[in-house]
Amino acid sequence: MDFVQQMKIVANIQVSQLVEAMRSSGVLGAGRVAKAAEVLADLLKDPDYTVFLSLAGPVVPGGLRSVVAELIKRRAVDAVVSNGANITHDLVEALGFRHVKGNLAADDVKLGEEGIGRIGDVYVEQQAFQALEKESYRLLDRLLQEKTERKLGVYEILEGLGRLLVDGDSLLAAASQTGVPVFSPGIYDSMLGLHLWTYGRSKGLTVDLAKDMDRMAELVFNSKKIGAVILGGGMPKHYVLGASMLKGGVDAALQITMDRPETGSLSGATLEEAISWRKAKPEGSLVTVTADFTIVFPLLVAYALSKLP
Amino acid sequence: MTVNQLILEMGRSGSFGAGRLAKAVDIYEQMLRDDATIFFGFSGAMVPAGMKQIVIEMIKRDMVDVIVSTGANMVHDFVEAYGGRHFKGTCQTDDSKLYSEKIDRIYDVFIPDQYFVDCFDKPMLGICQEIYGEMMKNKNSPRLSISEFFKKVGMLMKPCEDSIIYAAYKADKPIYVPALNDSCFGLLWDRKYPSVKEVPKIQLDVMGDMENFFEMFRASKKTGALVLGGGVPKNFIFQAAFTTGKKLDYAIQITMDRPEPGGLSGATLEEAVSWGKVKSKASYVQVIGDTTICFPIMVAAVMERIFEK
Repeated sequence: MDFVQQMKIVANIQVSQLVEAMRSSGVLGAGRVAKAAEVLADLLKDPDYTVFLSLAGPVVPGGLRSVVAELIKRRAVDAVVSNGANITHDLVEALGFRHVKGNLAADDVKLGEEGIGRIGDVYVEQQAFQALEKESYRLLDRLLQEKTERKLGVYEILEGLGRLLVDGDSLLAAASQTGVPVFSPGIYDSMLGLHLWTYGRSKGLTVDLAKDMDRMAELVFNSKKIGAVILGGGMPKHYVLGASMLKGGVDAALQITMDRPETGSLSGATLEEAISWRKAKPEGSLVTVTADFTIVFPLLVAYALSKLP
Repeated sequence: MTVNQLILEMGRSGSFGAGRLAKAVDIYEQMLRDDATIFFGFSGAMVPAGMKQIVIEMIKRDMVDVIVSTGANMVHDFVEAYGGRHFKGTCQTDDSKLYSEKIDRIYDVFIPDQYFVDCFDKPMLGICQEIYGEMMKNKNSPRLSISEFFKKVGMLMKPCEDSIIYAAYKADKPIYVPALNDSCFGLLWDRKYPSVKEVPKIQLDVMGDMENFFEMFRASKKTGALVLGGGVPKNFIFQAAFTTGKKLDYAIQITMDRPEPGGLSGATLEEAVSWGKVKSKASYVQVIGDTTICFPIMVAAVMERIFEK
């Protein structure tokens, strides 16, 4: 059995050296980070992998928008499954609004009066969502001019919206440019979803989630191996693992979450639990890092990118 | 990408865990540049997790002034100095089987029972006896404080590049272990314990350190606390800041504990402001994260800022 080596940290080291130090200890959180970094590097290097990136929690407000866009631009991921909120906030930034560094211990009553919404220690003006309403109507109008069909999958709508955006940092724009589909099964559970709902009711656009399932199934069936990179948990995690069940489960997956397994909810479930459901292969490379993904994900990406040729 | 470059990116986002970790790096850098007396709270399974060499490096580079530790971390430090090792195990294991095989588990770290006998009890009992002999020869009293005890252990143990106790002795940095008896050190006083034939004759004075510890606070121009985990070391440092009126100018804590149950480990640093332990205008941050992940990142980034340029 390997023994735990005490990590050596010296001045002026690369992120990849830090990860190597974590691997030399190999236990507890640091050990899991090193293992996850290796899994991510493998997923990006091995062309046989179809990689699903699952986004739940405040990925865009947490400053990871460009990191995700970069992975999409490099076609390091083959599909994105996101909650509605991250798509919404991606559009909010594309409209020129910003997420502002705020305070966790803020006076929320006062913020409410000032028209500021709080996400942890991040603030965003409510005005952004009014602007989003106008802009999403305008973009959807343009989209419908191009399409004859009035029943569209979410991924088709998002692909169309992404094509209309002019923003180099937008994950939606990057996805449309590179042909990476973006799924959002719970899109209606978001600000963008509300606008989509009212727009659809007045202009006759309906969302056909079965089309999304068709596309997801196609990706899964055409894959040689399935990889999943899961930030947070929630519906996106379930959607990716559920679809992978069609082909015996994921071959490799990493998850970064602060949620706990004891309450039985999926977000905190270990990836080993997915083996019992045949959503992950027993011989698969699986690692759950119990951490804040705003800390660990950039570290993993910096490491994995440094390993690409 | 270097670790500090990664931290600067996290600081640019500035939100959630990434923002907190980047702030912790800034504060640690300020503490060092401002020549604050840095009290280092060291709790949790830090030596088994592979953090020992990082602490040794911090001691050598004068990045800490005073160490306040759990008994366990000093026990595990000593065990490794005398040839014991921690092993990379697994958290999915049969603990009854481990028990019958005389292996102890710290989440995914394994350590054989025998190490505590061969690499702790035996050499430590010998050192205690040596201390006793020397003290009786010189001043006829076997009584000493815990920090005096650790200084003597450092002096009498085998010279070792690989020990916090030895490095602190060499660098003349005091080690305080307020709950020393809550560890294998305490068990040496169990005369029925198989590996203890004769309990140490030295008398450790639990209150013997209080005066000089308070004096160090009073003599400090500025005070800073760097706390890993929480527990007794956190309180020991904070209560001294309170009673001496030398409220902390700087404070950093890395913990996964939650504030809701009211325990000190998870208490926010704002809470400490209400007690007069932390200045209301202090630079402070609590990083909610796994120490084994966040601490190496923080130290690597700070070293890069201070020692390389």
